[in-house]
Amino acid sequence: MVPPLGKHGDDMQPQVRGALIEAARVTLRRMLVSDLVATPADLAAHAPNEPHAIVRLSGGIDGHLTVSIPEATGSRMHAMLTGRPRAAREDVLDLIGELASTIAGRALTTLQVAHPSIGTPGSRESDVCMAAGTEHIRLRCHSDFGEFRMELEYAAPFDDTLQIGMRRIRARESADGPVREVAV
Amino acid sequence: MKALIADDSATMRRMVRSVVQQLGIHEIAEASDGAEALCAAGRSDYDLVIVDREMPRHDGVGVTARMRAAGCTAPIVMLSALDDAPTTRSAMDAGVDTYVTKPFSLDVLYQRIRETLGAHGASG
Repeated sequence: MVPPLGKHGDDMQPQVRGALIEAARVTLRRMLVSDLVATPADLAAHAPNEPHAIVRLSGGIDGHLTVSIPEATGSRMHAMLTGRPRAAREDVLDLIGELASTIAGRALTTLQVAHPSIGTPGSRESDVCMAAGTEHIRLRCHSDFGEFRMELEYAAPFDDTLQIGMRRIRARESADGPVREVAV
Repeated sequence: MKALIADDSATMRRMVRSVVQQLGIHEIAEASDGAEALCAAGRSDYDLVIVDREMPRHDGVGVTARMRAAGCTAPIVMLSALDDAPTTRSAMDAGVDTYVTKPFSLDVLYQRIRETLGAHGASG
């Protein structure tokens, strides 16, 4: 059941969370042939020293997505994508950056925001142009390769464009069934 | 045949390279950002260009527009995580032949590149 859209960012969070989970699920399925189960979790964006990537996104919602993947899990993913059995930390960071930007782009596309844009991934907050966010979505993700985490921090201006996008999503959900927030 | 792959992700370049090699193209140059891609395009002619849209130092749309302005007639395949109509339109207007949305499977990428080469009367 999709909650009604209100006038504050809080009310959009179910749709944004749904779009993020859907984006991650499709990305893992198509690129890594892996299932994904995502559950809300009260976690930091990344564990100390854990490989992670931060991607700026804008257009209707402004914020940044952090994807954090343990090195062993990232190494297995990298092997699946490239056929190389061993991956250096730099390779894992590159892979995570690609996953993060793909997930961010797909989520923005799903939300049908105006003028969507994603930045190039970095691993330090100083590497990317950070947007201050007021909303947080933190997810623990279980894949065939192991667990990882995602955090989307964003500010959602209440504008007509985003409302139109949300209405389209709700209309599509009515026709096709709701977006699954936990996908197996 | 010669191909140019421009993507800031080394992982993606490796994946795309494997697909291009499956198509029988083994002379492949790589660029890790838009400026490198333009340099590579200025040094040599290519029969196929695969360019990421989201890259530092000139995005894929800018690279495509400059390559076309310089007379490049090779088929250009753009990879992008964004799939909204204005974004895809700007890519096509710049001179992109085929727009492939991420995430994609390697099978899909293989098929789309093959179709693009076929439409240009070239085959891998």
